[in-house]
Amino acid sequence: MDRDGEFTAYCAARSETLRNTAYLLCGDWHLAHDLTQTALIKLYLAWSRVNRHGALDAYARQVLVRVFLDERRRPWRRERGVADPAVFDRPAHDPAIAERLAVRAALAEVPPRQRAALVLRFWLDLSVDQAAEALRCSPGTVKSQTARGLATLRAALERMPELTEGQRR
Amino acid sequence: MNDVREAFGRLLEEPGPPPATAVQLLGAAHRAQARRRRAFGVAGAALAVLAVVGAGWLIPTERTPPPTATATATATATATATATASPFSGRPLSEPAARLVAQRMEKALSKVLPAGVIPIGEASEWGGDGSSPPNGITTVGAFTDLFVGPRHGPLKGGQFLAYLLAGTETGDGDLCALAPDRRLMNGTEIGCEVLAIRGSKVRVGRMREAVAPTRVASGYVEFHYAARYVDGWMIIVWELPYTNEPLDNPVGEGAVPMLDQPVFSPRGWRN
Repeated sequence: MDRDGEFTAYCAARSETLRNTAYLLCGDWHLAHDLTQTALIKLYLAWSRVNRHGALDAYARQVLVRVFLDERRRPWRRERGVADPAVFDRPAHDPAIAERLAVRAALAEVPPRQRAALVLRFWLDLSVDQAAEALRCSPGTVKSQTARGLATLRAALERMPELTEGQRR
Repeated sequence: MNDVREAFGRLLEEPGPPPATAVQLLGAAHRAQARRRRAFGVAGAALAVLAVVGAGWLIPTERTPPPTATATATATATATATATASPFSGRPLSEPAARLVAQRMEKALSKVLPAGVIPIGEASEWGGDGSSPPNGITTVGAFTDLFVGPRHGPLKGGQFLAYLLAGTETGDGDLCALAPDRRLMNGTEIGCEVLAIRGSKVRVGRMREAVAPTRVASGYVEFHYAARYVDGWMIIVWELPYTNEPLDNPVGEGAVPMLDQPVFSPRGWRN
């Protein structure tokens, strides 16, 4: 199979996973779409080199995280309020939706690198070393970022009235 | 941490827009590759005829003496510096090394950007294989996407392309001072000129690059380039019009340049 064929097959198999990961990183489906596309394009451009080493998933993951972190550093980027009170002023008829909004707001309070560490460790089930490679930092930094991210996330969840006691644990 | 995983899972229950298909992603990848090839094709033209002594790599803060007086001295200094300062020795570069150099290039380039030009992040795309082709030139390239304009107003996109060249021959930082047959590829260079930038005269080359040579449309973009010694290396800077459009879109003759004036500062550049 040529590169285009391999790339198409890879996209068909993995783009959804990448997009989900991107969404967990950024909390915005449209941005997640852009991040995923950018990561896959970079993967395509480096395909032969990366494929030779059998590192397609690791490379795609690493690029995705880097693209996300770089995007957050753009000087003109304007963050919206992370726990926008307006969101919770509106009653949600569906508890599941209210809960989802609350989780998203709580996750948005976690700084980008800490959030990336959480997603890599607890959603993608990467080891500390694998996460360190993706984040391009030391394993010790991954551990500290993860611990801080967990603390931030849990503190944010504690403040969310939409969540039940069980959901906060 | 099951609770975190569950929270992530709940988050993903939120419906999103339909994902791009594999074919759409392949199309986007093809367009990106075409843009890269076009840019590197321009650089490739330069590589075919330029040979610059390789060594060292930090951009000097002081102005370099005139080339005629320093060619021999540069070669000597280069030979010494190669062993210590340069990450290059004519051997192919590994990916991490090339990326590292590209990042350092970008930092160096960012220092010569005029006010109002905003580079995006740190992660420039890097290219070139860092190998030594038969002519002995080692190359490393880096792209930097730029946006021009007020920080809080509408921004105009642009792409900033730079190359480091290093080879085994002595070279001249001023491309326009080289004999025509040692300059850029025939047909792409349309001469040298002196531009007045903020009161300083800067000699730059002018290139014309064919783009979109398709059945539907074809055209040219013209742009300036400049070269500078960086401790034995030569760094060549282009300013390319930037477009996310497919290459088969019409591109008119004399496309509007990204900047009203060349992107590089006259400081430190040879006149």
